[in-house]
Amino acid sequence: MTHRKFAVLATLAIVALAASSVSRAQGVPSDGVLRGFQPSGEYALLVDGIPVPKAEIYQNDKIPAILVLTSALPSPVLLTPRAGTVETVHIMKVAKQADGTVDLLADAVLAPIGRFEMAGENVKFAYEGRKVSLNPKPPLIGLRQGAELKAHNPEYARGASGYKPNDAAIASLKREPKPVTVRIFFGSWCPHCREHVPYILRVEDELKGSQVKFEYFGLPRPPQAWQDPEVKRLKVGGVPTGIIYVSGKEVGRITGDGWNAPEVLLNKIINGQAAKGK
Amino acid sequence: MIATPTATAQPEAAKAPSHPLLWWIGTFAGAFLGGVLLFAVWAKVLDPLGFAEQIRVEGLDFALPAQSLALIALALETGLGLALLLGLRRSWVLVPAVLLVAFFLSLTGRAWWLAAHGLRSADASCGCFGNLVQRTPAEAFWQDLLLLVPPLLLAFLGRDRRAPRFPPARTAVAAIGSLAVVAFAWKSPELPLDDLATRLRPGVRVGEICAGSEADRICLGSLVPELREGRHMVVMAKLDDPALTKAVDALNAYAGDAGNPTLWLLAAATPEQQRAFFWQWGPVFQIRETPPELLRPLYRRLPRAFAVNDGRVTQTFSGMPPFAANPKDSLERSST
Repeated sequence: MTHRKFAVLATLAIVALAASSVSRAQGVPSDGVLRGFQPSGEYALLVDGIPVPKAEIYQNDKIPAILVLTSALPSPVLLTPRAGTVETVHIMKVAKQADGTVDLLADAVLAPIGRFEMAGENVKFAYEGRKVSLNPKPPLIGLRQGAELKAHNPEYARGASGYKPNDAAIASLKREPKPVTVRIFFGSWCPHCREHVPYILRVEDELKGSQVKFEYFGLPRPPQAWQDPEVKRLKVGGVPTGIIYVSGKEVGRITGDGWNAPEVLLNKIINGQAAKGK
Repeated sequence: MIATPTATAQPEAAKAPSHPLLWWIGTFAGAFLGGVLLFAVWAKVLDPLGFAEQIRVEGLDFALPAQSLALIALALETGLGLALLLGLRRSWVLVPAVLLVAFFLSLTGRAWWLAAHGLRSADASCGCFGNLVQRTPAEAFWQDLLLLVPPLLLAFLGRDRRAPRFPPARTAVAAIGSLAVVAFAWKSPELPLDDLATRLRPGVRVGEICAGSEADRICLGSLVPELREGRHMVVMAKLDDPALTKAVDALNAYAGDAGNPTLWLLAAATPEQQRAFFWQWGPVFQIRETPPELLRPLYRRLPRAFAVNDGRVTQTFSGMPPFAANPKDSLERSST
């Protein structure tokens, strides 16, 4: 056998082995526990003090654990609250799913690299000499559009797609002839806003092209939230609060229990009647 | 000098009620005021720790511990309430009643003044909610004024000054009643009275557990909409309470079993406190910030827990639920 023939055969063997390896990897199921990580909008990543806006941060509430995917670090990082551990996993063992979630493969090997520390609200750890920090995202402040909320926190988009608004109320609102503006005061830091604001984002999607328009006013964290001049002027007592204007005049508010089905209350306030069937 | 019959009769006549109608009005007004005071006692005697907490919040515990003050106040309020209810309208009852009413009004008036001058912000909440007031400080002042002052003034009418100053039977009832209330309040926190003393009891719907008024009204059913359907176990606790932190393993184990009802933790905690709890303790159950105005009427002492089935409270537990009540035992059992 000549050297050339040997080289060709060896190359073919390596390719075949690699192909086999890849196919095996593709066939490896997801880990039974380390799976179903949801995109999280709660934290921002900083490496050596520099923000990494493109970092993908996922959270699994059932373990619980946080998974950080970023090209700014050599490997994906898994943080486990309470245990305080920081582990790395090979990028090939991270599988993104069609629904946007992320799984680790069953044969993923977690390599401990240390422990994280809490510094105030920030979670800090070291990775190959880099100082890594997970900080709570700064709140969205001021007048915003719905798309900005969805971009800021994937939970908003997820919540909006999961909400089923009342058909009768939506149909009625679509027929509204007068210009209506709904200004929603919210806090991107507020868990109740993450629960309820997605409902109105979905309602906004449903009412695209109608006379009903939506805008969102983000507040800083308390106590500053309650000192905001707009909050004081309009006497907003908590978030989320939706103020409804018809032809520029306030006609009512979405507050408290009204957030269970905001489109129903919105329709009731505008048209003076509750939509049936909810 | 021997007094003439006329001279002695005049003071007696002056002490007699001027008109029977006034006597009746005064008696009914006094009884009404007594009833109001006793109703207030009932609410406080079931939860004396809550009453002591209010005393602390108002800063009235500068001379005595708040719990001692609470017991003294309950004794005084009960004694006066019973005396008025039993028709005792002598100066030793009415003068302290005036002082007590003046004290209550000074408290609500002070709260109103502080709020009006921005010294006690109505928006002092640290979480998503403002201050979910049932009634504004101004409303509280005027309501107390209208409820307490007219009957108190009317109670002065038609007083029968010829009657004995300390009628033995009625005085004894007022004194014994006061002592009984103090004794009951002393032991009350240890008695199984949570269902009676709070708004949380089996049969109540989560949509009926609300705080705030009008547009700001918020109910448990909208804070945790998931409670309206299915089976749930809800724990109310402070995030830094060792009773909770010791039980996290047991709670996590419970929440991790798909066959169990969904587990929730209600806490008057800010998002920042929740985040800190998440990293330190790693809960796998959901924590929902609950405004204190909604949470406080649901317990006498934390932690407290309750089971919910399709939106209705089916069972309550003083302390942690049974599976987490003795975390050490539960961990030992689970490890064997």
